[in-house]
Amino acid sequence: MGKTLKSSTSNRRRFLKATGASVAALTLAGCASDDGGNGGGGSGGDSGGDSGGSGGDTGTTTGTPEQSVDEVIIGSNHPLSGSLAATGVGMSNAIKLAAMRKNEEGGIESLDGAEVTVIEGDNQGAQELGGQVSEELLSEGADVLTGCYSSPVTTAATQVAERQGVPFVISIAAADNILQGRDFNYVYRPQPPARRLASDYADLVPSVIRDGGGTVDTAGLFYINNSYGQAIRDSLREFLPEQNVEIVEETAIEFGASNANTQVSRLRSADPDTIIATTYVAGGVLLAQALQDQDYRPPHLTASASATFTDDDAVSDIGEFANGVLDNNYALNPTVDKTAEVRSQFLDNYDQEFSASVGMSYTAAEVIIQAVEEAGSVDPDDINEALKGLSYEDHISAMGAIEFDDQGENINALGPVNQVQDLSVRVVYPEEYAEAEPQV
Amino acid sequence: MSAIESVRDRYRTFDDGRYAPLVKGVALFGLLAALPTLIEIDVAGMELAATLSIRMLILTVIYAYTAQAWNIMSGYTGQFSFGHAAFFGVGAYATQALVVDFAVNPWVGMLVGGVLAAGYGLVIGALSFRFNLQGHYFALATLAFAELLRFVVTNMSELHGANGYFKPFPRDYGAEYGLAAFQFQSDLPYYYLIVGFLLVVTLVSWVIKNSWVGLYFFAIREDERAAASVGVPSFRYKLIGVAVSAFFTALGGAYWSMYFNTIRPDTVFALFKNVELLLPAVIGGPGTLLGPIVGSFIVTPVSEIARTTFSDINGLDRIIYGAFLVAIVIYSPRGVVSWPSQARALWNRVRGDEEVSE
Amino acid sequence: MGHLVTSVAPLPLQGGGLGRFIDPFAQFLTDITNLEPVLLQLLAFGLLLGGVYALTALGLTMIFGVMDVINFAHGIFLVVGMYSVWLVSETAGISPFIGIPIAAAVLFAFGVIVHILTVEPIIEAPQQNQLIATLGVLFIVQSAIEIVFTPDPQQVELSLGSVQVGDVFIPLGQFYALVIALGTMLAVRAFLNRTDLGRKIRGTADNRNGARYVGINVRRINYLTFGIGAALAGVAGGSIALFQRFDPFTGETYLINAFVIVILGGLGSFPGAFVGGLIVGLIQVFGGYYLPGTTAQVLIFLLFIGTLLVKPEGLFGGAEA
Repeated sequence: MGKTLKSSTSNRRRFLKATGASVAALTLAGCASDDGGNGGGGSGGDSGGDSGGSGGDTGTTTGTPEQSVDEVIIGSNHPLSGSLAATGVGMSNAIKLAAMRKNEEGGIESLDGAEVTVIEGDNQGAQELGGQVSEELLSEGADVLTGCYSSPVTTAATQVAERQGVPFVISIAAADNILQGRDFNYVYRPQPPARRLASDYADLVPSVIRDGGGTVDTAGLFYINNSYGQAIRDSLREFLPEQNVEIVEETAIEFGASNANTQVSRLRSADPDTIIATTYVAGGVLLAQALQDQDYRPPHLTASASATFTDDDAVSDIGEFANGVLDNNYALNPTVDKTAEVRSQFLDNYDQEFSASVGMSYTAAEVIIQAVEEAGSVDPDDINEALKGLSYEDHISAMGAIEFDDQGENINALGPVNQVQDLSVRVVYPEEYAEAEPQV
Repeated sequence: MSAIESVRDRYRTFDDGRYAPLVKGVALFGLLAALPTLIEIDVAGMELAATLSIRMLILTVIYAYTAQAWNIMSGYTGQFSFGHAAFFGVGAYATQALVVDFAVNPWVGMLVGGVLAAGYGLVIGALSFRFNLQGHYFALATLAFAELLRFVVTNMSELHGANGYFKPFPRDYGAEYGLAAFQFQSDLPYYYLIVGFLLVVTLVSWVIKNSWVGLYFFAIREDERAAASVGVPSFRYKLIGVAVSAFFTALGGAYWSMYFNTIRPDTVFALFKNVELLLPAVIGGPGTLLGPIVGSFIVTPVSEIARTTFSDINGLDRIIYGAFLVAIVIYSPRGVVSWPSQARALWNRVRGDEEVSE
Repeated sequence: MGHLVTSVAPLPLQGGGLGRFIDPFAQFLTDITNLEPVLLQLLAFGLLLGGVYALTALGLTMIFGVMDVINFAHGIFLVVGMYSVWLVSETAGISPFIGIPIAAAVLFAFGVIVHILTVEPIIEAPQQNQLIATLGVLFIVQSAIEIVFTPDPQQVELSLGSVQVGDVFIPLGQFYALVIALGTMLAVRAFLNRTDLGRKIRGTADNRNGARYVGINVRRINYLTFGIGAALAGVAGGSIALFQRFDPFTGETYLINAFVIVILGGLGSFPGAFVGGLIVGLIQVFGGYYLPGTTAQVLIFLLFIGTLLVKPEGLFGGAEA
């Protein structure tokens, strides 16, 4: 069962409680069975229902169109425990932040100030639970769903939403096939998927370098050897030659490896004009460490969709060496005033660092909220229509107006070029979203 | 004679009858088939479905099926395998690779996967048994073979590397939603299908158990050298055990790939998958017919109940689950299925004490 | 601008067919004949990585060798060591190097407790039960760390850098880990060979029943062994924390290779674990350099299987620890 968390400070409270609470929780276990009634009515599920809040049970409001609606419920389906939790918790908090900010502005105007509520479900990063958690959130009255970070989990989660006719706006999930050729009617993805990120790299980064007077004829890849890294690698292989960049070396690092020494040796032997890193935070840190240990830095150090170089904390951990790294990754738009506000509010309320994934999840939540505004109702099909016709410009991500094609992909999804300057991550290209000049 | 004793006698007479296994089987599978309806029943405002949805039931039966398949080798012949994810993954990958790349019907792909897995199992078995690997060493060898396969697949772009496969639509291989396509649009048919799978593997397991093949298997498990010395061709029968077990496990992997939409090395060849495939059998009672089924109906629901009850603190449910595993294994080493006989033994001991003191 | 995501990109093959696995070996041999300088660097990396691996295997080989228990919770013991060192240096401001012996002590106590609660009851149980019991311990401890310390990665504030010797770079963090590995191995070996208690442990390892007959308190030896095994894992974890970020899930990647090393080197053999670790480290480095992707790990598994088939006692097996 999910929890209704309206206040942002409750998360911090929860964390503090948790530090000493394990034993207490065990004793409370006996009383916990009282919760049994709440999540009831989770029907055999797929009996053709297409109403989202079909809980039909006690507890949460189900918002049928005829009655006046007090709240809009967003179901957040993320990994809150397990190895993906470090990112998942931040993403879920971003959703909550978006809801909180909307409520501070007075709630959903077109519904007379209805409050936006977020209920969280923990899919533990497991494919078997993705659909189940979606189901649970729906039975607790979620009007729209979002999630899930891991692509197999997202596949399962979105299928449940599709079958039940409830809109699902993906916060982050990189695999192209989640939407490609799946004929989904209710699933949307504001985020640029893997292939798009790689093509953005090819389109943007070499020109940034070349415009700055640099040469980038050859590249060496350094990627994490899982689906994410391989997907970007495959697309880079396709798009880089079109920009006259030849891939001369490819090295992979295992998830959880202890160092990147061998990979750097190999890259060094190939002597590319640039190294292109595609990693989660740990991989990039290891790369930076190994480069420094071997006193090697290629003429240009870049990354494609690497979490490391768009993460403030990671960048400051690496230190001076990180300055100058160009990383194309989804980012928040620094030229919009709201962005700084959102960032500081997040840091005030939650313990996680503000990273690209937090920013993208925030935008996904904003998309949902905007759609509900435009729909003026919590009926899933109304919201779905609003999403189909959405042209949302007032968001804080660094990309054009968010509009979805008939596959559900965001036409204007973009992974702009970020650069680490003075140990902070700044968007540098394209100019309309840039807060600083690229330094080559 | 007390009431309990007369009931017990009546049951024993029934049990000795020829049709007892049939009746028991029908009862068991009838219950399983009725479960989706049962969980919907509203008792005082609460449904079982709240804690155990059809989706979780499917997962439970999947793991009951694979545990039963594992049992044929490890429970019966005593060759404990830590590496069944290899077979599971082969089944999943064969099905998906054939259907995605060659539009081959997944049922065919499944059978191909089963044969391939059996082949891999024979390789593993032939090498290991030839060199007389036993106990821990054999277990670790099977684990190595499974992990090896995972790394190979992750690094092979022909099999889509770490990205794996996404299940295609039935129309992509010339079929419609339904049994022939191995795909349905709702969960209930999937449930009945996996119950069907479970029925088949339990039947096979039962037939083996009651045949001389089973006799050889048990002999090998109890004391391989003694068995060999009375002429049991242990090498051959261990291989048969591996091959059959691998074949059925692969079929389970094929089902998984058709139910869960996407497979990757990280999901079907995962290190932890090896554990998930054997856990219900060990908890329920290895070497027994009902053990895997009972075990699965304990393991998955407990995990689910823990997950939904302790949702406030992320990760607490895993602590409970871990504690549960430890407790079961310590206090019930022969599995849950042995509880009735353990209870009876305890009861007899208690009554025996009473009689003595009288 | 940009490419609309239309269809999934076809996946190009890397190199061609089998060639991509055979070419690397050819390349390797060419490099040797040419005495390429990079080989020396790779050798250094391999030994350093091997040292780390060896360190992680010491505790496991002790438990496996003496008690015949496959401890699947070994990975999480490593993690507890990492967190111990981190806590000590974070909260008390003590140098992480001093934190390592503290981690060892913490893990010793922890190991004894785990042993009494979960391992002792199942020490004679069939191995599948042992697997599940230690797995349960893994879940409990891992989730507890996750709850208390959050799943966010942590690191010890230490930038060790590297030294350059000729053409070869030696990253210091791993170098220290190698030194610690060597030192620990020698220390424990001395303990096992020279002290009374050590001899009792070895005796129990050789013959459990025989040990009872000569009056060794096998139960207490078990506690001690498990505690020492856990303490060694603590030292390993603490050393790893010197140069690597960690979270509650870091131990998993070390676990499998630790088993490989233990088998390779021989159950219960410390020099075996050391040499086994070096071999695995070298394969991983050289394999990572020449082979595509992460295929090096496949070689390691093949070696593992080969060892199990040909000489299951391992390189140093049958000899004394």
